Amino acid sequence: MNSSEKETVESPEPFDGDRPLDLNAALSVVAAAEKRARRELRADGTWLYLLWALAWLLGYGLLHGSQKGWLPLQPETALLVFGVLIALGVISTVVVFARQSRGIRGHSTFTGGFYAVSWALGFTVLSALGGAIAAAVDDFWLRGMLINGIAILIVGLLYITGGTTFNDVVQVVMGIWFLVVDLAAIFAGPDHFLTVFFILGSGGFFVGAAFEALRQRRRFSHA
Amino acid sequence: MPELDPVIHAESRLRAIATLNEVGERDRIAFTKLQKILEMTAGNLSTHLRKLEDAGYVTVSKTIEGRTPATYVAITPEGKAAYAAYRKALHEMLTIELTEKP
Repeated sequence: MNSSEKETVESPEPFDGDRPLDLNAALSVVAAAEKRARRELRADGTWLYLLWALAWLLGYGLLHGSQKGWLPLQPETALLVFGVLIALGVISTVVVFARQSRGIRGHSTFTGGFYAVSWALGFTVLSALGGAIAAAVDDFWLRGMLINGIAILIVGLLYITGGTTFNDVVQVVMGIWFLVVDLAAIFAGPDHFLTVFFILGSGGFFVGAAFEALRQRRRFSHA
Repeated sequence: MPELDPVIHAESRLRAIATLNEVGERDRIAFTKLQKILEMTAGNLSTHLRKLEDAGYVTVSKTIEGRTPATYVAITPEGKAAYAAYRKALHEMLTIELTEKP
């Protein structure tokens, strides 16, 4: 215990919470304490999925608009905005998980830490591979489809890994969904892959957010 | 008739062990973070953690993080079992109370 903790140990308490409880009060205390602990200790996936849903909707939407001509936007500009949106999503996710894991040590530090490292390593390899693809492929949209296809392969596999590591079925299903969408986009080809991601990719995050919100509500109501 | 563990059956200790149960026995939580979640003073929390520690339900360990001393708290397997038994007994007693009401 540090010095500031020791100082307050000696201060008298108006109420020490040592009174026995009646049964209903005890049940309420259990429910409230578990609810509060879950809120403080687990990141709210609903907001993160919503954030990513909006980032994909806007990002892929802008690229789609520039490709199909329903937005007066150069593909390079749309790609730049897409990159900024993805970067904002990554920063927000890192901040949320860093806040959640602050003050916690042990097994979750190991699993969460290496899970985060897997994401970083996966996308480091992708950036190198993306450079090689960009040098080898001239067509802007074919290049985009190939790099995006590999990125979503990493996302899908890591969502499944995350779901199995943290016992989260919503994440597993979303990972499978992203891989199915990726496959559909590759079959759709460079002219239509953005349509697939614009609708089904962001849609997967919106549905994931809805399931996560439902699950949180059910969890709290059964606490 | 089920009985409630008197070590757990007090508001502050019940809140503390319920929170530590959510942290899980494979992790430990910083005293300051636990204090913030429980909205208890350091003195009050220390007193109740000592009672839970004496019963073998939690472990308290001290470490140095950088140059700052830090205290971490974790629930033990015995603590998890005791909390599960407490919850079960509480539900059974409430069921009995409900069925015995005219």
